[in-house]
Amino acid sequence: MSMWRALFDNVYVEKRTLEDAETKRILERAGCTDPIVIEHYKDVFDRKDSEGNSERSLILAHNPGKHLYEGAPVCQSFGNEHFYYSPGVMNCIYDCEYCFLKGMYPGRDICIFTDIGETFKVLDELEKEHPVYVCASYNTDLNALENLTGYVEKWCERALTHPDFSVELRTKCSRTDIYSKLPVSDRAVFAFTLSPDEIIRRFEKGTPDLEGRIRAVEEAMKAGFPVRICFDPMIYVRNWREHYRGMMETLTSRIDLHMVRDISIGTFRISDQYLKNMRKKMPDSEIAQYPYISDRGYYQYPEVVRLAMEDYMKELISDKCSGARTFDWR
Amino acid sequence: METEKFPEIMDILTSEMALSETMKIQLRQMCIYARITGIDMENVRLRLHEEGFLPCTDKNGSKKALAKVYEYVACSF
Repeated sequence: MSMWRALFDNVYVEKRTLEDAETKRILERAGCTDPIVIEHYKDVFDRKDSEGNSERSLILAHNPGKHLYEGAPVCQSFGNEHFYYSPGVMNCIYDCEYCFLKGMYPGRDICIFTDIGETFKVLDELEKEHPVYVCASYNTDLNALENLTGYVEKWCERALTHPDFSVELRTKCSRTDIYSKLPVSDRAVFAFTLSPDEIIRRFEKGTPDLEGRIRAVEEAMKAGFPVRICFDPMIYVRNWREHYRGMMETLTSRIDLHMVRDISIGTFRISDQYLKNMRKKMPDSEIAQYPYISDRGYYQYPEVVRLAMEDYMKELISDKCSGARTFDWR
Repeated sequence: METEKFPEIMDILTSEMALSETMKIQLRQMCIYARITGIDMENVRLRLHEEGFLPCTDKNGSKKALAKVYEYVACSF
Protein backbone atom coordinates (compact mmCIF):
# COMPACT_ATOMS: atom_id res chain seq x y z
CA MET A 1 0.00 0.00 0.00
CA SER A 2 1.23 3.51 -0.78
CA MET A 3 2.37 5.46 2.25
CA TRP A 4 -0.21 8.17 1.75
CA ARG A 5 -3.10 5.72 1.80
CA ALA A 6 -2.09 4.60 5.28
CA LEU A 7 -2.50 8.13 6.63
CA PHE A 8 -4.80 10.03 4.28
CA ASP A 9 -7.99 9.63 2.30
CA ASN A 10 -6.98 11.99 -0.49
CA VAL A 11 -3.97 13.95 -1.72
CA TYR A 12 -4.49 17.45 -3.10
CA VAL A 13 -1.87 19.60 -4.78
CA GLU A 14 -2.09 23.29 -5.59
CA LYS A 15 -1.79 23.84 -9.31
CA ARG A 16 1.01 26.36 -8.89
CA THR A 17 3.14 23.89 -6.91
CA LEU A 18 2.79 20.96 -9.28
CA GLU A 19 6.13 21.46 -11.00
CA ASP A 20 8.13 22.23 -7.84
CA ALA A 21 10.94 19.82 -7.13
CA GLU A 22 9.88 19.72 -3.48
CA THR A 23 6.29 18.81 -4.39
CA LYS A 24 7.48 16.07 -6.73
CA ARG A 25 9.82 14.76 -4.05
CA ILE A 26 7.05 14.57 -1.42
CA LEU A 27 4.59 12.97 -3.84
CA GLU A 28 7.21 10.39 -4.71
CA ARG A 29 7.94 9.69 -1.05
CA ALA A 30 4.18 9.35 -0.48
CA GLY A 31 3.86 6.98 -3.42
CA CYS A 32 1.15 9.16 -4.93
CA THR A 33 0.98 9.43 -8.70
CA ASP A 34 -2.45 10.94 -9.18
CA PRO A 35 -3.09 13.79 -6.75
CA ILE A 36 -6.19 15.94 -7.12
CA VAL A 37 -5.23 19.36 -8.46
CA ILE A 38 -6.75 22.38 -6.72
CA GLU A 39 -6.40 26.15 -7.07
CA HIS A 40 -5.80 27.04 -3.44
CA TYR A 41 -5.17 24.94 -0.35
CA LYS A 42 -7.97 26.75 1.50
CA ASP A 43 -10.51 25.25 -0.92
CA VAL A 44 -9.96 21.99 0.95
CA PHE A 45 -8.28 22.93 4.22
CA ASP A 46 -10.91 25.46 5.28
CA ARG A 47 -13.85 23.13 4.83
CA LYS A 48 -15.57 22.70 8.15
CA ASP A 49 -15.73 19.21 9.56
CA SER A 50 -19.23 17.94 9.25
CA GLU A 51 -20.40 15.77 12.10
CA GLY A 52 -18.89 12.33 11.98
CA ASN A 53 -16.54 13.19 9.14
CA SER A 54 -13.30 11.47 9.97
CA GLU A 55 -11.65 12.00 6.57
CA ARG A 56 -8.17 13.41 6.48
CA SER A 57 -6.50 14.76 3.38
CA LEU A 58 -2.94 15.69 2.58
CA ILE A 59 -2.50 19.01 0.82
CA LEU A 60 0.68 20.28 -0.80
CA ALA A 61 0.72 24.03 -1.27
CA HIS A 62 2.70 27.25 -1.25
CA ASN A 63 2.62 29.42 1.82
CA PRO A 64 0.82 32.61 0.79
CA GLY A 65 1.47 34.29 4.15
CA LYS A 66 4.37 34.80 6.52
CA HIS A 67 7.04 32.14 6.67
CA LEU A 68 7.96 32.90 10.27
CA TYR A 69 5.95 34.28 13.18
CA GLU A 70 7.20 35.68 16.43
CA GLY A 71 6.54 33.35 19.35
CA ALA A 72 3.28 33.79 21.27
CA PRO A 73 3.44 34.96 24.90
CA VAL A 74 2.30 31.56 26.22
CA CYS A 75 5.12 29.79 24.41
CA GLN A 76 8.50 29.30 25.98
CA SER A 77 11.54 30.91 24.40
CA PHE A 78 14.10 29.03 26.56
CA GLY A 79 16.20 32.13 26.97
CA ASN A 80 16.35 32.89 23.25
CA GLU A 81 15.74 36.55 22.55
CA HIS A 82 14.68 36.19 18.91
CA PHE A 83 12.16 33.41 18.99
CA TYR A 84 10.04 32.49 15.96
CA TYR A 85 7.92 29.62 14.84
CA SER A 86 7.47 28.22 11.38
CA PRO A 87 4.02 27.38 10.04
CA GLY A 88 5.63 25.14 7.40
CA VAL A 89 3.25 22.26 8.04
CA MET A 90 -0.25 22.91 9.32
CA ASN A 91 -1.94 20.31 11.49
CA CYS A 92 -0.84 17.08 13.05
CA ILE A 93 -1.41 13.38 12.50
CA TYR A 94 -1.95 12.94 16.23
CA ASP A 95 -5.30 13.65 17.81
CA CYS A 96 -4.57 15.21 21.20
CA GLU A 97 -7.80 16.35 22.77
CA TYR A 98 -6.25 19.48 24.29
CA CYS A 99 -4.29 20.60 21.26
CA PHE A 100 -4.77 24.24 20.28
CA LEU A 101 -4.74 23.11 16.64
CA LYS A 102 -8.28 21.81 17.23
CA GLY A 103 -9.34 25.36 17.94
CA MET A 104 -7.16 26.86 15.25
CA TYR A 105 -7.94 24.75 12.19
CA PRO A 106 -11.36 23.76 10.91
CA GLY A 107 -10.65 20.09 10.21
CA ARG A 108 -8.13 17.24 10.29
CA ASP A 109 -6.41 17.85 6.96
CA ILE A 110 -2.66 18.30 6.92
CA CYS A 111 -1.20 20.98 4.69
CA ILE A 112 2.49 20.89 3.85
CA PHE A 113 3.97 24.07 2.44
CA THR A 114 6.49 22.86 -0.07
CA ASP A 115 8.26 26.19 -0.42
CA ILE A 116 10.45 25.58 2.62
CA GLY A 117 13.24 27.15 0.57
CA GLU A 118 11.44 30.50 0.90
CA THR A 119 11.39 30.07 4.68
CA PHE A 120 15.13 29.51 4.61
CA LYS A 121 15.56 32.70 2.54
CA VAL A 122 13.67 34.68 5.18
CA LEU A 123 15.94 33.13 7.79
CA ASP A 124 19.05 34.08 5.79
CA GLU A 125 17.99 37.72 6.07
CA LEU A 126 17.06 37.53 9.76
CA GLU A 127 20.32 35.85 10.67
CA LYS A 128 22.19 38.85 9.26
CA GLU A 129 20.58 40.92 12.02
CA HIS A 130 20.70 38.59 15.03
CA PRO A 131 20.73 34.93 16.08
CA VAL A 132 17.44 33.21 15.37
CA TYR A 133 15.70 30.45 17.27
CA VAL A 134 12.88 28.66 15.46
CA CYS A 135 10.28 26.20 16.68
CA ALA A 136 9.82 24.18 13.51
CA SER A 137 7.22 21.75 14.86
CA TYR A 138 4.91 24.35 16.31
CA ASN A 139 1.82 23.51 14.23
CA THR A 140 2.57 19.85 13.65
CA ASP A 141 4.82 16.95 14.62
CA LEU A 142 7.53 16.92 11.98
CA ASN A 143 9.22 13.78 13.31
CA ALA A 144 6.00 11.84 12.76
CA LEU A 145 5.89 13.07 9.14
CA GLU A 146 9.58 12.63 8.39
CA ASN A 147 9.14 9.77 5.93
CA LEU A 148 6.85 12.02 3.95
CA THR A 149 8.55 15.42 4.16
CA GLY A 150 12.20 14.95 5.09
CA TYR A 151 11.89 18.36 6.76
CA VAL A 152 13.51 17.27 10.04
CA GLU A 153 16.63 16.51 8.07
CA LYS A 154 16.47 19.88 6.31
CA TRP A 155 16.13 21.78 9.59
CA CYS A 156 18.97 19.78 11.18
CA GLU A 157 21.14 20.42 8.13
CA ARG A 158 20.48 24.13 8.42
CA ALA A 159 21.33 24.12 12.13
CA LEU A 160 24.62 22.40 11.35
CA THR A 161 25.61 24.88 8.66
CA HIS A 162 24.27 28.18 10.12
CA PRO A 163 25.98 29.24 13.35
CA ASP A 164 23.37 31.92 14.11
CA PHE A 165 20.44 29.58 13.74
CA SER A 166 19.01 27.07 16.16
CA VAL A 167 15.90 24.97 15.93
CA GLU A 168 13.61 23.10 18.27
CA LEU A 169 11.80 20.05 16.92
CA ARG A 170 9.07 19.19 19.38
CA THR A 171 7.59 15.71 19.15
CA LYS A 172 5.64 12.88 20.69
CA CYS A 173 6.91 10.49 18.03
CA SER A 174 8.49 7.22 19.09
CA ARG A 175 10.56 6.70 15.95
CA THR A 176 14.05 5.64 16.89
CA ASP A 177 15.50 5.09 13.43
CA ILE A 178 15.95 8.68 12.31
CA TYR A 179 18.41 10.13 14.81
CA SER A 180 21.51 8.20 13.75
CA LYS A 181 20.92 9.34 10.14
CA LEU A 182 20.50 13.05 10.83
CA PRO A 183 23.25 15.68 10.79
CA VAL A 184 24.03 16.20 14.47
CA SER A 185 24.41 19.68 15.83
CA ASP A 186 24.29 21.37 19.19
CA ARG A 187 21.81 23.82 17.65
CA ALA A 188 19.17 21.24 16.72
CA VAL A 189 17.22 20.43 19.87
CA PHE A 190 14.77 17.56 19.98
CA ALA A 191 12.05 18.35 22.50
CA PHE A 192 10.02 15.38 23.67
CA THR A 193 6.62 15.97 25.18
CA LEU A 194 6.11 13.37 27.88
CA SER A 195 2.88 12.59 29.67
CA PRO A 196 1.72 9.92 32.09
CA ASP A 197 0.24 6.89 30.31
CA GLU A 198 -3.15 7.69 31.85
CA ILE A 199 -3.10 11.10 30.11
CA ILE A 200 -1.81 9.58 26.88
CA ARG A 201 -4.52 6.93 26.88
CA ARG A 202 -7.33 9.35 27.61
CA PHE A 203 -6.32 12.53 25.83
CA GLU A 204 -3.49 11.94 23.35
CA LYS A 205 -5.18 9.67 20.83
CA GLY A 206 -2.92 8.11 18.25
CA THR A 207 0.30 9.03 20.03
CA PRO A 208 2.97 6.61 21.23
CA ASP A 209 2.93 5.52 24.86
CA LEU A 210 5.42 6.80 27.42
CA GLU A 211 7.71 3.83 26.94
CA GLY A 212 7.92 4.49 23.18
CA ARG A 213 8.69 8.16 23.70
CA ILE A 214 11.41 7.35 26.24
CA ARG A 215 13.03 5.00 23.74
CA ALA A 216 13.10 7.86 21.24
CA VAL A 217 14.67 10.15 23.87
CA GLU A 218 17.37 7.55 24.43
CA GLU A 219 18.11 7.29 20.71
CA ALA A 220 18.26 11.05 20.19
CA MET A 221 20.68 11.37 23.11
CA LYS A 222 22.75 8.44 21.90
CA ALA A 223 23.09 10.10 18.49
CA GLY A 224 24.44 13.23 20.20
CA PHE A 225 21.49 15.62 19.92
CA PRO A 226 20.64 17.98 22.75
CA VAL A 227 17.34 16.85 24.24
CA ARG A 228 14.65 18.85 25.95
CA ILE A 229 12.03 17.12 28.06
CA CYS A 230 8.66 18.86 28.04
CA PHE A 231 6.14 18.26 30.78
CA ASP A 232 3.88 20.62 28.98
CA PRO A 233 0.96 20.67 28.94
CA MET A 234 0.32 19.14 32.34
CA ILE A 235 -3.33 18.14 32.49
CA TYR A 236 -5.44 18.38 35.62
CA VAL A 237 -7.24 15.11 36.24
CA ARG A 238 -8.32 13.09 39.25
CA ASN A 239 -5.21 11.66 40.98
CA TRP A 240 -2.89 13.82 38.88
CA ARG A 241 -0.09 13.65 41.49
CA GLU A 242 -0.01 9.87 41.34
CA HIS A 243 0.05 9.87 37.53
CA TYR A 244 2.84 12.43 37.19
CA ARG A 245 4.89 10.81 39.95
CA GLY A 246 4.60 7.45 38.18
CA MET A 247 5.68 9.02 34.91
CA MET A 248 8.73 10.57 36.57
CA GLU A 249 9.70 7.21 38.12
CA THR A 250 9.46 5.52 34.74
CA LEU A 251 11.44 8.26 33.02
CA THR A 252 14.25 8.50 35.54
CA SER A 253 14.67 4.74 35.69
CA ARG A 254 15.83 5.05 32.08
CA ILE A 255 17.09 8.60 31.51
CA ASP A 256 19.62 10.52 33.57
CA LEU A 257 18.06 13.99 33.77
CA HIS A 258 21.54 15.47 34.26
CA MET A 259 22.17 14.59 30.62
CA VAL A 260 19.23 16.49 29.12
CA ARG A 261 19.72 20.09 28.03
CA ASP A 262 16.72 21.46 29.90
CA ILE A 263 13.22 20.68 31.07
CA SER A 264 10.07 22.57 30.26
CA ILE A 265 7.12 22.68 32.63
CA GLY A 266 3.71 24.12 31.92
CA THR A 267 0.11 23.51 32.78
CA PHE A 268 -2.48 23.62 30.03
CA ARG A 269 -3.36 27.08 28.72
CA ILE A 270 -5.00 28.22 25.54
CA SER A 271 -6.20 31.36 23.82
CA ASP A 272 -9.82 32.24 24.54
CA GLN A 273 -10.94 32.00 20.93
CA TYR A 274 -9.43 28.55 20.46
CA LEU A 275 -11.09 27.31 23.64
CA LYS A 276 -14.46 28.61 22.47
CA ASN A 277 -14.04 26.65 19.22
CA MET A 278 -12.95 23.54 21.12
CA ARG A 279 -15.93 23.71 23.48
CA LYS A 280 -18.28 23.81 20.52
CA LYS A 281 -16.53 20.90 18.81
CA MET A 282 -16.11 18.78 21.96
CA PRO A 283 -19.07 19.26 24.35
CA ASP A 284 -18.10 16.21 26.41
CA SER A 285 -14.39 16.88 26.69
CA GLU A 286 -13.12 17.03 30.24
CA ILE A 287 -10.29 19.29 29.12
CA ALA A 288 -12.27 21.67 26.91
CA GLN A 289 -15.07 22.03 29.45
CA TYR A 290 -12.94 22.73 32.53
CA PRO A 291 -14.04 26.09 34.01
CA TYR A 292 -10.79 27.94 33.30
CA ILE A 293 -9.85 31.40 34.48
CA SER A 294 -9.44 33.95 31.71
CA ASP A 295 -6.37 36.14 31.92
CA ARG A 296 -5.36 38.60 29.20
CA GLY A 297 -6.88 36.61 26.38
CA TYR A 298 -5.77 33.20 27.59
CA TYR A 299 -7.61 30.58 29.57
CA GLN A 300 -5.67 28.73 32.23
CA TYR A 301 -6.19 26.77 35.42
CA PRO A 302 -6.80 28.84 38.55
CA GLU A 303 -3.64 29.83 40.35
CA VAL A 304 -4.11 27.32 43.15
CA VAL A 305 -4.22 24.44 40.66
CA ARG A 306 -1.54 25.83 38.38
CA LEU A 307 0.96 26.39 41.14
CA ALA A 308 0.20 23.07 42.82
CA MET A 309 0.88 21.20 39.57
CA GLU A 310 3.91 23.13 38.40
CA ASP A 311 5.52 23.19 41.85
CA TYR A 312 4.87 19.49 42.27
CA MET A 313 6.61 18.79 38.97
CA LYS A 314 9.55 20.97 39.98
CA GLU A 315 9.82 19.00 43.23
CA LEU A 316 9.77 15.71 41.37
CA ILE A 317 12.52 16.97 39.07
CA SER A 318 14.64 18.37 41.84
CA ASP A 319 14.41 15.08 43.77
CA LYS A 320 15.97 13.35 40.79
CA CYS A 321 18.26 16.06 39.49
CA SER A 322 18.91 19.00 41.75
CA GLY A 323 20.79 21.04 39.15
CA ALA A 324 18.27 20.60 36.34
CA ARG A 325 17.72 23.62 34.11
CA THR A 326 13.98 24.07 34.14
CA PHE A 327 11.78 26.57 32.36
CA ASP A 328 8.18 27.35 33.05
CA TRP A 329 5.97 29.37 30.76
CA ARG A 330 5.10 32.17 33.19
CA MET B 1 -27.93 9.89 36.16
CA GLU B 2 -25.89 13.07 36.50
CA THR B 3 -26.67 14.03 32.91
CA GLU B 4 -30.39 13.88 33.63
CA LYS B 5 -30.04 15.90 36.82
CA PHE B 6 -27.83 18.60 35.29
CA PRO B 7 -30.47 21.20 34.34
CA GLU B 8 -32.29 20.57 37.61
CA ILE B 9 -29.26 21.14 39.84
CA MET B 10 -28.39 24.25 37.85
CA ASP B 11 -31.91 25.58 38.46
CA ILE B 12 -31.80 24.74 42.17
CA LEU B 13 -28.41 26.40 42.70
CA THR B 14 -29.46 29.45 40.72
CA SER B 15 -32.58 29.78 42.86
CA GLU B 16 -30.48 29.65 46.03
CA MET B 17 -28.12 32.46 45.03
CA ALA B 18 -28.43 35.96 43.62
CA LEU B 19 -26.40 35.57 40.44
CA SER B 20 -25.64 38.02 37.66
CA GLU B 21 -25.82 36.71 34.09
CA THR B 22 -22.02 36.35 34.02
CA MET B 23 -22.08 34.37 37.25
CA LYS B 24 -24.82 32.13 35.84
CA ILE B 25 -22.62 31.38 32.85
CA GLN B 26 -19.75 30.54 35.21
CA LEU B 27 -21.99 28.26 37.27
CA ARG B 28 -23.24 26.57 34.12
CA GLN B 29 -19.67 25.82 33.04
CA MET B 30 -18.93 24.35 36.47
CA CYS B 31 -22.03 22.14 36.19
CA ILE B 32 -20.96 20.95 32.72
CA TYR B 33 -17.47 20.06 33.99
CA ALA B 34 -18.91 18.35 37.08
CA ARG B 35 -21.20 16.24 34.92
CA ILE B 36 -18.31 15.14 32.67
CA THR B 37 -15.95 14.30 35.54
CA GLY B 38 -18.56 12.66 37.73
CA ILE B 39 -18.55 15.26 40.49
CA ASP B 40 -21.88 15.05 42.29
CA MET B 41 -23.25 18.61 42.30
CA GLU B 42 -25.99 17.68 44.74
CA ASN B 43 -23.26 16.77 47.25
CA VAL B 44 -21.52 20.06 46.53
CA ARG B 45 -24.79 21.90 47.12
CA LEU B 46 -25.39 20.09 50.41
CA ARG B 47 -21.86 20.95 51.59
CA LEU B 48 -22.49 24.61 50.85
CA HIS B 49 -25.68 24.43 52.91
CA GLU B 50 -23.83 22.75 55.79
CA GLU B 51 -21.12 25.39 55.68
CA GLY B 52 -23.66 28.20 55.68
CA PHE B 53 -22.94 29.53 52.18
CA LEU B 54 -26.41 28.65 50.91
CA PRO B 55 -29.02 29.88 50.59
CA CYS B 56 -28.06 33.50 50.15
CA THR B 57 -29.88 36.44 48.66
CA ASP B 58 -27.24 39.16 48.51
CA LYS B 59 -24.64 39.63 45.80
CA ASN B 60 -21.58 39.41 48.04
CA GLY B 61 -22.76 36.23 49.70
CA SER B 62 -23.52 34.73 46.31
CA LYS B 63 -20.04 35.61 45.10
CA LYS B 64 -18.58 33.73 48.04
CA ALA B 65 -20.92 30.79 47.49
CA LEU B 66 -20.00 30.62 43.81
CA ALA B 67 -16.30 30.74 44.69
CA LYS B 68 -16.88 27.82 47.05
CA VAL B 69 -18.66 25.84 44.32
CA TYR B 70 -15.68 26.56 42.06
CA GLU B 71 -13.28 25.32 44.71
CA TYR B 72 -15.15 22.03 45.09
CA VAL B 73 -15.64 21.51 41.37
CA ALA B 74 -12.46 22.85 39.75
CA CYS B 75 -9.80 22.48 42.46
CA SER B 76 -10.62 19.34 44.39
CA PHE B 77 -8.63 16.65 42.58
